[in-house]
Amino acid sequence: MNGKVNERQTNSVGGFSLAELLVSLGVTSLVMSALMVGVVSLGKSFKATELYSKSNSAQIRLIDAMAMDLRRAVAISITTSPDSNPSSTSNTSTRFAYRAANPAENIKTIRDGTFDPVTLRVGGASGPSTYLTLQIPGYYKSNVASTANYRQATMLMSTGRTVCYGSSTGSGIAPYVTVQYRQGHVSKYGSQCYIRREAGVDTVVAELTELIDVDITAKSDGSFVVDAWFTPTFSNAGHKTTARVTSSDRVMLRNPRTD
Amino acid sequence: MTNTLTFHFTGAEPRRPCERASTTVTALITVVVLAAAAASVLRTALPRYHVTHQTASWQEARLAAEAGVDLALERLNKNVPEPSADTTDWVGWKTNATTAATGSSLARSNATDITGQGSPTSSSLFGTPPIYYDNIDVSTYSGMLASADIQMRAFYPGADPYKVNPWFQIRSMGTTAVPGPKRAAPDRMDGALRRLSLKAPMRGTLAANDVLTPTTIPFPNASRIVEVIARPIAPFAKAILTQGSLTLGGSTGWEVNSYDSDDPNKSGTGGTYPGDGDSKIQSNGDIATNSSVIDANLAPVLGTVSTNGGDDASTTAHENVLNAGNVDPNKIFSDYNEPLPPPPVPTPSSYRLNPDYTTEQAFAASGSSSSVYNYRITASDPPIHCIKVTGSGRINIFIDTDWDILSGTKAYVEIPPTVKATMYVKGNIAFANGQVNTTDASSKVPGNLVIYGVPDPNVDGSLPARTIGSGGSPIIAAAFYGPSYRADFRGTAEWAGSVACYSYTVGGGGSGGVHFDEALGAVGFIKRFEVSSYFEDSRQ
Repeated sequence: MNGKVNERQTNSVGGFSLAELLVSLGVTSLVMSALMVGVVSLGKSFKATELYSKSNSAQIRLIDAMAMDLRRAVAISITTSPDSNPSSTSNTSTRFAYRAANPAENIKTIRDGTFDPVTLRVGGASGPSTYLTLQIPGYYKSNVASTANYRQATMLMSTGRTVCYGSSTGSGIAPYVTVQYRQGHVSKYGSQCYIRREAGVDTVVAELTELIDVDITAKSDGSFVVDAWFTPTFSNAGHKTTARVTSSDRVMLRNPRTD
Repeated sequence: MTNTLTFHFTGAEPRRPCERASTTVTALITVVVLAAAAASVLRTALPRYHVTHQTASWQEARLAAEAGVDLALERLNKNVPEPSADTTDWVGWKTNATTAATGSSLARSNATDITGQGSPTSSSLFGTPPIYYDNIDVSTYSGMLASADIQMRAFYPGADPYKVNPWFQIRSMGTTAVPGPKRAAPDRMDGALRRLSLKAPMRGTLAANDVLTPTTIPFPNASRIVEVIARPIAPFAKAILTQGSLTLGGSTGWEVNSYDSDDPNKSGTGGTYPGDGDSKIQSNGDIATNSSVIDANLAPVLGTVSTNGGDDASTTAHENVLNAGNVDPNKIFSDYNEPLPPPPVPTPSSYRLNPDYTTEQAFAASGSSSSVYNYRITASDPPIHCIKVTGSGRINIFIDTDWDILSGTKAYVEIPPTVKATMYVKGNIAFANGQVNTTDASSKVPGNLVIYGVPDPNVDGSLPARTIGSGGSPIIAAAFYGPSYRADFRGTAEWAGSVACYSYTVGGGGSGGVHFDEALGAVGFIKRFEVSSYFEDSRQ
């Protein structure tokens, strides 16, 4: 190497030739495209993971809440609501227990009849809704959250031969409290939700449940199995039935059934 | 990443701008971007990961609370037939921080009438102060810290001391440690459901469950409260209960039903059986066996019919009940398992002098419901047939030999309405054509005449098979409990009350039956305690 050669080379650094520019542009485009694809893919994966995580939390929360109520229930029934209204007088309830003669009736899906699970659209269907309806002991003095005795237990009373919870109204045995689980659209959350209604007061137990299904199965030993599953939104999740994530809990009733 | 930079210097030649290195900057930017991405992922994932721990601890807390209930029930069942006796074992339980609890802490004498203390009562309710069993270590094998705090109170739902009715309210709080930071779950709904104590007790009223030493489980922790009402199981809870075979009467008119001698709307005059076909008849005449089959013999049973297995759940038929044409199929069950333990037999230090019962002289009762007179007829005494009791109060009659009531005008047992009589019989019992607590002067209330068939072991320790039965048409108002007795009645036998024995058979025609008195559920010794009501207190 000598100075002349270096000078020539230095002079040529002043710009790219067209070919060099095209090549560098091409390479840059390829790299950027790959980066973009990667970023988008990462974003999708991140979102799917987050939804998976949220759905999994909701699924477990839902099962835990239902299992807690089932465990303390004294009566269990399935309510069919033709007009998908929990307060409708058209609703009919049927005692839910294992039936050897009709195995298909031993499993029930809690569903919103107005929700189309294929298009994931509320109002896309018009079938009857199915709710799980339980009766639990009347334990609290009040079921109104804003009242002071909302968390206070009623006093025990005697029927002369037995001991039981007394009514908060001051006379007689405390009536059972109705707890109902249903699925429905809640505008506050802008999504399908699972709703727990206790003594007429609704509480959302799980939001974003478009992809979550809940089944209750009556078993021959008197127990109940709560199954909840959802379909992850990963691109390679495949068909719903093969990719679903299921959690379940088997609940032995603690109280003798009164229904 | 490896980068090689090569510089060629020749003399004082200036460095060329185009060869300046930006690799370090690029690497730093890359690291920052990746770190930001990782932080974002961790920020989202870690709280969710902690929710898994919180959920698991919350589940464990319920198990801990139920373990506390089990501990209380275990102690109650260990101390049957009388948990409030002085000899019972309440080791570990306290009435306050320093005073150990004893059986008398739960006795009726320690109970006060709490009727009217804000309690909507329709009858008297007597309650004792609570006793405590605190900070019981119920940690799991995996090492998760868990403890249970238990409170228990006895409640007596009536003023009648003759009735065995201490009920118990058991309140147990289970607390488990939550691994991970003191951080709330990302979804508020999780917090609303599980209500974890992250830095301080979430539920202020839980302190009431922890009256002695505060729990040592560190924060964050999860607590759950389970409240159980335990009821005593008396020996006369069924119309008919057997350990072995059970065959009902097959003739027309023979039936099993129920009534309630305590309720005028469910019984005849003076609490008597209202009579077949009466509108006051109830449908709680349950029958059960610890064997796998019952022969209903087409008899109507107004109540449940239960066996220990024998029913094939995969079929609609009930293989465990034969000839069940007059039994409601919805009231047939196969999950019964209630062994018949030997009855407790008192051992008085002395007995009163027997009257000349062969000439129908009466046995005198104690005159008070709080005391009892004891009489004993041994094998060397004249055979006893009819029994007549006078006065009021309580009486125990121990018969160490066979008791045959015979037939005719002297075939009776007379218990006035003011007397509670208990008989302990070691031999065979024959009621022939007798009127057992059903004479005009008798109360006709089964709870006033309790008969225990007492196991009388042979010299080699084996238990002889005893019998109870009738060859005629007795009319009986009594409660019988004899785990080693084979009952064999004619179809004409009319029994109001309850029969618990080894086996039960009805032969021949007749329109008799067994009419269960629901008031017997509170009479007799306590066999065990079982959960009457379970509630998880999720609000406190």
